[in-house]
Formats: sequence, structure tokens, C-alpha cells
Amino acid sequence: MRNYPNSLPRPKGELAKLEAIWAPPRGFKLLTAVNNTYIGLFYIGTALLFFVLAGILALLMRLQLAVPANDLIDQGTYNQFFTMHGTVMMFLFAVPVVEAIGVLLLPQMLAARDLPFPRLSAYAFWAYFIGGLFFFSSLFFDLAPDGGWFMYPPLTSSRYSPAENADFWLVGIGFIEISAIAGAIEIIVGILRTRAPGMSLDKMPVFAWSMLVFAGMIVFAFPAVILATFLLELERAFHWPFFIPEMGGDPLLWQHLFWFFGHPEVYIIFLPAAGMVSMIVPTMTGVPLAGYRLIVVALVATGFFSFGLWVHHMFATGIPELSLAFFSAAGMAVAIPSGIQVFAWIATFAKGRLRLTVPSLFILGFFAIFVIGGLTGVMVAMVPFNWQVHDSYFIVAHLHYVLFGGMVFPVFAAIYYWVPAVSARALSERLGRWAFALMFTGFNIAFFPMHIAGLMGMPRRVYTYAEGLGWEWYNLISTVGAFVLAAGILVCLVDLVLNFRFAVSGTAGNIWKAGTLDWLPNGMYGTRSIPIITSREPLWDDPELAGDVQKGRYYLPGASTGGRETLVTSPVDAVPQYLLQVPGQSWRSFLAAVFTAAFFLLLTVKLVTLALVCGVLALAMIIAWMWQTDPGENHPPVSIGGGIKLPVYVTGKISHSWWAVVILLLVAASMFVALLFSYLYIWTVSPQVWPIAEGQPMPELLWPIGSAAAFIASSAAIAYSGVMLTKARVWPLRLTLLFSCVALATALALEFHGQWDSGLRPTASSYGALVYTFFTVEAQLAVAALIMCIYTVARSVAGMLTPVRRATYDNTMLFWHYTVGQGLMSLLIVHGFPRIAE
Amino acid sequence: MIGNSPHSFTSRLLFMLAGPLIWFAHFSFIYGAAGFGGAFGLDAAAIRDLSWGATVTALAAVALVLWRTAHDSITRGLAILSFLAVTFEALVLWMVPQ
Repeated sequence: MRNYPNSLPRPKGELAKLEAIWAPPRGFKLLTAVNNTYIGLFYIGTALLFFVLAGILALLMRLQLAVPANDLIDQGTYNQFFTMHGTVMMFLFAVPVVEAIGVLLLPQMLAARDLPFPRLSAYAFWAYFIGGLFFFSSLFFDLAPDGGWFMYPPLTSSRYSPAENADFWLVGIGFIEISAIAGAIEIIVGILRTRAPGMSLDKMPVFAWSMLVFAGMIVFAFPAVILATFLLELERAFHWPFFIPEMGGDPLLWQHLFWFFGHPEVYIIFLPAAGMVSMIVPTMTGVPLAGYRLIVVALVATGFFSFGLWVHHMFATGIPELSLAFFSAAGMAVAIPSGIQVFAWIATFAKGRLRLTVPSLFILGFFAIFVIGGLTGVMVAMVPFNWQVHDSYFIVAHLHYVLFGGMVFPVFAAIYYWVPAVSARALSERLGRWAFALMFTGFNIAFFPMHIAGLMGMPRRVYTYAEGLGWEWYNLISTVGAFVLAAGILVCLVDLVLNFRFAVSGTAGNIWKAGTLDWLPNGMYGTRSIPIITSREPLWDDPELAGDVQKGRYYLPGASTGGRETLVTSPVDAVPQYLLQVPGQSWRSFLAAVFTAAFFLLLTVKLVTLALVCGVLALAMIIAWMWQTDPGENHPPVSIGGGIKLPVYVTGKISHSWWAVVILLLVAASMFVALLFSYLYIWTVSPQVWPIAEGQPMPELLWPIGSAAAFIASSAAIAYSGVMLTKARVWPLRLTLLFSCVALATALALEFHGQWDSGLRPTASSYGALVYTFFTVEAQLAVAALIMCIYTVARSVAGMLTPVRRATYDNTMLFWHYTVGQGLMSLLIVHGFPRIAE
Repeated sequence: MIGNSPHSFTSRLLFMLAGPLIWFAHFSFIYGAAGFGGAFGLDAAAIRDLSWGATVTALAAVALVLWRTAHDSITRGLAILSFLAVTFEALVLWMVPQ
């Protein structure tokens, strides 16, 4: 590293070659773009579109509530509007926009050429874009969901919501959440494995830390809501009674699962916004962030503590006093790490001298609004107060102060701050100030009176109210404020139209004089060369760095393999490990997303055959896309400069794909834990439907024992096939892989037969439904494992699986062992617990 | 120039997160005891005793983490916050009448 920066001249044509390799597609082929800059901008643009659409719904609702007994919007339409407003804002704007900003900025901030799985990013984006637009368009056919953004049963059960409106929510949101999880996997692996050399975790920008916590929270929180939507859809479509009390179900199970996701969701949205604030504040004050480590601690702690708060939303449901008090205490405890961050920002202001730019104004607005929202959050964490204001407009005011203040203001600060990094022109300071003034004033005029209206007893979600209740003025003022707020957003959009000119090179550049790598000169390839990082604000500490990087004086100044590539470094200390060959643009990821979206949407409207065709096509596209990956050692180790030669292909635990599979398995494990919770929860409320109490026979032990033996045999076979692969014995390898498939299918068949033979049916009671859900969840994993196994055999037949080129096998094997482990756990619970509980 | 192995990353990560993980285990236990204890035949006093036991164990475990991390400020900070959060839950056991 001592030789860097290398002042020797770079070879002629090196930069031109790099540019040619990373050149974006043109015309309609832009749909095939996978580069993080394009996908990030597409993502942000789409998220802002949904923000505007949901905002228009809000304005219509405010018009309806402006005067008492208004008949502008009928009750049914109003129900659809508030459901879509909440759902679109939470699922189609808030999470995607921060994920999008991460996709756009993280590679630049970490000096990576791209994220490690660019096609996965593209797939996640297009799935979100197509799924989101179809979901929103349900409004125009009177098919939009109308059960509120948290869709509580029994209101959303087939009994009370027989039309397809609720199905749109359940299938659409489940699908969009899968897209968010794909993005989260990309972000975790990207942050941990593609940082510039020397950027150890304690030198990583706070935004990257916040995105790491954000993505980690998605991995553990989202499976709960995916399971919840799956259960409710099973109940609606096939009458599996999870939430029907007279059949042993409980509607409160939905609330537990939903809020186990829903409360962390608030922090999932807030933490990246806090990360953006932590990037902007030091730049605007001209000094390093005060308490960097404390902020990191606060981010991680908030991520954890937020999982202990879900009952916070269920204080009015009759939960035992002691449990309520535990959650109340946790609700107050989480205020401590949030407070740490606020004080660290204030300390940074005190250390430096704040420039009152537009991003600074939005940050100051965020402080004021978020602190008020945080304080009312502590108020509603107190059980007696919560009971008083539950489901009132006080809650509407509180949640908007937290979410709009805590997330939307920082996002607008981020837009004004980072536009110069991707645009030839910065946004207008004058228009920006107007936008801020209108948004800040409008927001407070709109939402502050709602506290009072709520305390006066105005319930949320009413489409109108009678005269003489004393709510009239507060509602009228709120409506005026909403339009002022909308005017502010409109000014910002006008500013974007007038001044945003997308550029990769030739951007407005580092106009704020920031110190982090996101302000290095860029191309489609990211930075020209990848610098060595020795501090948290490298551009401040080494004023020559930007020039040296641009002149190719650091690592990887060209394309060592002749294709797209990025440096993979170790997760803690960022030591170079290998060169990852990054896949380029492709129709496959786009078409896979189109067909996946079509599969889910057609299923929603009950066009099953067509849905299945699209499902098969989606699978075919994914397989075609995967076929090009796992290239093997197609190059000898290559030089990245500084005398360092790196391999271009690795397998096993060091490989980025192994990391992705491990994270995917954590998602599966989270879903399994949520299912286990559901099983125990239903048992506590309805033990009478368990077979022993009902006097119904359990399956004979022969069946689960046979199933377990088949599971273990399949795992043993796949492990043995690994030995065959190492020894390059092709036929034994293929045969053992196929035997694994047969054994796994046998394990499932034996379990299913045992349950069915005992007379248990999923429609009979919540117990039956849960038992068959364990089976169904396991079967889903097993089908995926079988496809992966057959795919591995196909690669062996094609000569693309060798003792060296084996990442495909390693990933399949990992997935397989997890599937078997979960299968054995399921057997233990389903067959063991009822016998113990006896 | 292969850097540190994923194994060392996993152990470092787990140690860094030891405080919050202990908090999470403690929280799951006391909420599980309060929520499911009755179904397993435990009375209110037994649930409280178990929760006190878990709290003392959790506080001792976090204290151990603090003692072992003299130089890692992030691990220490997380452990201190976790200690506070577990203490908050102990206040519930102390203050909420049976």
C-alpha cells in the first residue's frame, strides 16, 4: 500500500475500455439495465411517483373531511382511499425509496463498481414497479383493498370482505415484500463485502451502517408479515381457519404477526433516514460527526429494541397487565438510542458552523417534527394514555410526525444534497427554500390540530362527522395545511423538472465540499480506481485523493478480466480477497420480474391456468439468468495493482453467493419462527381443538419416523455427492443428487400421508390448518431445493460443475441441509408437542 | 492476500451483538413466560419468580460482556444500552402490582 498513489502513467486506452465495458444500454434496451446508477434512479423515481399518488389520495380525503357531513366521497371509496394511502406510503414509497437511495449511493460511498448482484437489484426493482402499478390501479376498478393498511381480520376475512379487494392487498403486498427482501440481501452483501480496501467497519460511513441495520431488520421482520398474508390468504381462499374463533383460530394472531413486522417497520424507515442525516450534518457544519461510535451503537440498538415493541399497537386488545407493562417499558427504552442520535447531531452543530442550505433546512425541520413525534411516542407508550387515544386522530397525528418528520424530511434533504452527484445541475436554492417553507408550515398546520381533534374524541378512519362536535375548525385547518404541504412538494417537483439533468460524468460534483467517497468523480463504472481508505472523511483528510482516484492511481484502474468486475474485501477489515466478475445487462432479469408479477397478479384475480403459465415462464427466465453465473476459474489470478494478485473465482464460505444464501436462509428461519409462534399462540387460546383434547387420533409414529429417516437420508446423500464432486466422479455425483431428490420427496409424502390418513383436515380447525401450514411451508422449501438440485445435475451434464467450479453445488447443499433441518423441526413440533401438551 | 475468514467475522459479530442478543433472549423469555406461562400451568407468582431469575441472569451476562470488552467501544456501548433496557423491564416486575 506504500506505493499508492501510483504516479506512473496509465496505459493508453485503459479508460476508454473501462467505459465501453460499463456502457449503458440505449433506447428500449434501457429496460435491461442492471447498473446500480440506473436501477437506483428508476427506483427513486418510481417511489416518488407512488408518494405523489398516495399524497393525492390524502388530499382527497382531507377535502372530504374539511367540513362536517360532506358527501364529496362516499364511505366505500373513502375506505379504499385511506387503505391505499397507508399501504402505498408504507410499502410502495417509504421502504423502496430508502432501499433505492441505498442502491444508488452505496457503491459510490464504498468505492465499489457495482453491487454484487446487479441482476437481483434489477429483478427486485421491476417486480416492485410492475406489481406496485397493478396494485395501485386496483383503485380504478373499485377493487382496491378497504380494510385499513393493517388489514385486521375478521373485517378482512372472506365472511366480511368477500370481494377480491383484500386479496389484492394480501397477494400484492406479499409479493412486494419479497422484492424488498431481495434488495436487502443485495445491500447486506454489498456493504459487508464490497468496501474499498482499508475501509474497516469503524471507518464505514454512517449511512452504510444504517443501511446494514435496515437490511438486517428487513430479514428478520418482513417474514412475519409474509407469513401473516399467507395465512389470511389460505383462510380466504381455502377456508383454513387461522383467525376464526369458533374454529379455534384467533384474529389477534394476525395483529401479533403484523405488528411484529409493523413496529420494526417504523424503524426500518427511520434508520436509513437517520443515516442520511448523519451524512449531511457533518458536511453542512464542516466538522466530523460527533460521537460516530455512539451513533453506530444507537443504530444497532434501535434495530434490536424495535423488535420488543409490537404489542405497543395492541394495548387495547385485552392483553394481561404484566405483558403490557413489559412492552410499555420497552417502548420507553427505545427512546434512549434515538435520543443519543439527536444529541450527537446537536453536538456536531455545536462543534462546527452550520451553513443554512436547503438540505440543512430540511434537517432542522426534521429535528423539530421528529422530536415532537418521539415525545408523543413516549406518551402513547404509557398504557392508560394509550387506551384513551387509541384509534383516535391523536394517533394519526403522532404517526405522521414520526414518519413524515422522521423520514420524509430527511429524504427531501437527501434529494437536495445528493442531486449534484448524479445531475449536471444542482437543484435551485431559491425553489428549495420555498419548498421547505411550504412543507414545514403546511405539515404543522395539517397535523398539529389532529392531536387536539383526537383528544376531543375524533376517531380515525371516519369518512365524515356530524356538526356540533367541536371538530369542524380543526379539520378545516388540517385540510388547508395539507394543501400548503402539497404545494411545497409540488415546488420541489418543479425544481426537479427544471434542474435535474441526469449525468454520470460531468455532474455538478462536490458542491457541498463533503468528505466521503460518494463525492468522488464517477462513471458508470463507479470510481476510476479504488482508493485505500484510512479515515472516515477521506476527501477532507487527503485533498489530492479525488484527483488521484480519477487518474487511476489506485487499485483496479482498468478492467483486469476484460469484463465488469468489482473488488470483494473481507467483512471487518476490508482486506482485498478476490475479484468478482459482475454480470451485465440482460433481458432475463427483466422478463423474470414481469412473469413473476404476472403470476401473482393473475392468481389474485383467480386466472389460475394463466398464472401457472407465467409462473413457469418466470422460473425459466430465472434459470436462464442463473445459467450464466458461476463462471468458474475462467481467468488466472489477475493483478489489481500495488503488486496484489487476486483470484477471480472462489467458492465456499468466502464466496459472496454463499453469504447471500446464508441470509436467505435467515429469512426462511425467521418465517419458521413466526409460524412456531403462531402454533404456540393458537394452542394457548384454543387448546380444545388440539387432537388429544378432541379425542382425535394422532398419526401413527411410523409415519413421522419414516419421514425423518428419509429427510436424513436425503441430507446424507447430498453430503456424499459433495465427496463425489471433489473426486470428480461424475456419475456417482449425479445419481446421489437424484437420490437426494427422491428421498426428500419421499419424506414429504410420508408426512402428508400420515396426517391425511389420521383423518386430520386443514379446514376442520385451526389446529389442522396449522399442521398443514407446517407441511406447506416445508413443501415450498423442498420444491425450491428440488429445482436447485435438478439444476445442479443439469450443470453437471453440461460440464459446468467441476471440483473447482462448484459454487452452484455449495449453495444447493447449504439450502438443502437447512430444508432438512427445518423439516425435522417441523416433525418434532407437529408430532411431539401435542403428545407433550397432553 | 486473503483477509480474515468468515468464521472470525461471525464470532466477532456475535460478540459485538452480545448485549442486544442477551436483551432479546431476556425479553423473549419474560414475555413468553407472561404470555404462555399460564397455559403451562404456572401461576402469577411463579411467572414473576422466573422473570426475576431471568433478569438477574441477563444482567449478570451483560455485566460479563462489559467486563470482557475493555477496548471495543461499540460492543461496550451496545452492552450498556442493553443493561439499561433489561433494567427497564426489571422495573416492571418491581413496580407493577401482582
